[in-house]
Amino acid sequence: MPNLQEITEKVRTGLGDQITIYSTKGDHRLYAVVEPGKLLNCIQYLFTSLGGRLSTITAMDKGSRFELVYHITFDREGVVGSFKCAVPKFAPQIVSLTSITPAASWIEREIYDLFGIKFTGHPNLERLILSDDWPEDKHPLRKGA
Amino acid sequence: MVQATSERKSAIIPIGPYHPALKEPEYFKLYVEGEKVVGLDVRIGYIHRGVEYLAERKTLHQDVFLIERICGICSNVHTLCFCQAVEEAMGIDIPDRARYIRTIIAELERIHSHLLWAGVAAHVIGYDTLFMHFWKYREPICETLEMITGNRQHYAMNYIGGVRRDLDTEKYGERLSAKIDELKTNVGRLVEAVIEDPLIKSRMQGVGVLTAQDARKYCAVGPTVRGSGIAVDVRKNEPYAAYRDIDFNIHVFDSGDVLARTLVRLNEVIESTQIIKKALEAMPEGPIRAELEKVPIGEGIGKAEAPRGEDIHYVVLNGTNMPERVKVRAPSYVNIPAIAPAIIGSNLADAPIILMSVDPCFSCTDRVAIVNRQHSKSVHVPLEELVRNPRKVQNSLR
Repeated sequence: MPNLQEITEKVRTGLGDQITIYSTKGDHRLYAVVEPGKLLNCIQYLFTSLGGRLSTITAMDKGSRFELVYHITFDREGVVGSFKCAVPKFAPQIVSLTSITPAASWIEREIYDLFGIKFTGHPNLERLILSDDWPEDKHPLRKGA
Repeated sequence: MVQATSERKSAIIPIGPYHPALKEPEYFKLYVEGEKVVGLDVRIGYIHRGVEYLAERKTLHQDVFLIERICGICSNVHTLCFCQAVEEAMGIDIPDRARYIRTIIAELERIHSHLLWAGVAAHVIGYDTLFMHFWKYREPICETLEMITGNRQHYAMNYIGGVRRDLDTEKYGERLSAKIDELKTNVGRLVEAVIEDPLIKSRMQGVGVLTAQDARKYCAVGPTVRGSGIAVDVRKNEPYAAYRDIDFNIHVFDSGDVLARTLVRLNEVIESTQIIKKALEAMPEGPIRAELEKVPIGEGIGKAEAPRGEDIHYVVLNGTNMPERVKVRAPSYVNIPAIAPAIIGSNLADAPIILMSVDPCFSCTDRVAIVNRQHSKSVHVPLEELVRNPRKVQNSLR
């Protein structure tokens, strides 16, 4: 059964001011903001110490910036923690999570494909779902694309 | 993907992945040395239709119909996730009767999907009679779904706020119950035959082992990990629809091989028949849809246990009737990369069943490319040919 309080406590204790929890919903949703520089450490902690699992990463075009949302599922507590990270549009890149889990490989390639965000440290950052002859500079999920 | 350590140049003749003979396009590239598989590469995107792009440009109600068409086999679970995500973002509590109807349709879908898979898996190990039997017993379930919802696939039952159509228990309850009982008896007999069959054991036991450690590392989900001893199921971890109120078991096996994943699915079919009967008995009266109010600015996540594992949808609303962003992550997205640790080190002849054992959502497809690293030769074959005549394929690589 979902136990939001337990996870929220553990996240607060373990990550302290590296993240800012801004919202919780019901007994199973946690929303927080994390700085790009602290992302890798935070995710590593969530994985190793709290048994988190990467469900997926959502990328969004917010106009002035990109927002990456890392959805981490805590199976035992039945909670999904969504950790948001802002990426500037003029230099869209962030650290890759492939050093923590191979599950990040495909989703980061997909985001690179559809948004043009680069993931530093990714072993083979190439197209995933668009065709090989798709124009390099067109990223369909950007607003106004 | 997991690459072979050194790759010499080899000529690949392009005859796939699109071809009139194929059911679904997809591309598995197997690196072999002799008879052993030493590397796996998977290319996807051949069936990319831009659903997320389209979803931002249609209304929320239109999106329910769009999302249903992501998959033909597990169409219901996608609309279930999407509706749950929107309902969470809008702060809607759906009526109890709708929760139970959603549960019944979801479990019927699980049964038909697992039986479809079981038939395909039987075919892939060369046991066509068993394939025919599984699909024969799957047919009444499709007929049942047509009786209740009007369609064999794409049931259009889920709707934002509840369900679109009521389940007339007076009219259909007894017939549904009878069909479920019949299925339980028939499939139960088949399952016994599967467990005791030495032929099936030799093709599945100890084959394609995915360790619990690898399953966790690759963040895999569903029967793929429940066959490796990991007891994770969205219906138990984060109950949705009516699962909080219904008593049921999840099935976990430890050996991590193809047989374990098979047994998980077959046992789930039997378990689903029980869940449906309990849901029918406990179905409350009342409305089937909640009133919808103005769309707020907000976000919501919908999760459900699809037949293949955890399905997750994330929806962002911007106050208009069109969503700001819809993100869909189907279970096969994390399960297909997880095949790599299971398949590396196995024989080429076992490759098809290992590929199928995670129930990739492009089921009985497609194109397989096999690269012989030692002789720098490669060949493109339909998966069917690898199933029927692995020796011939092997020889063509010498």
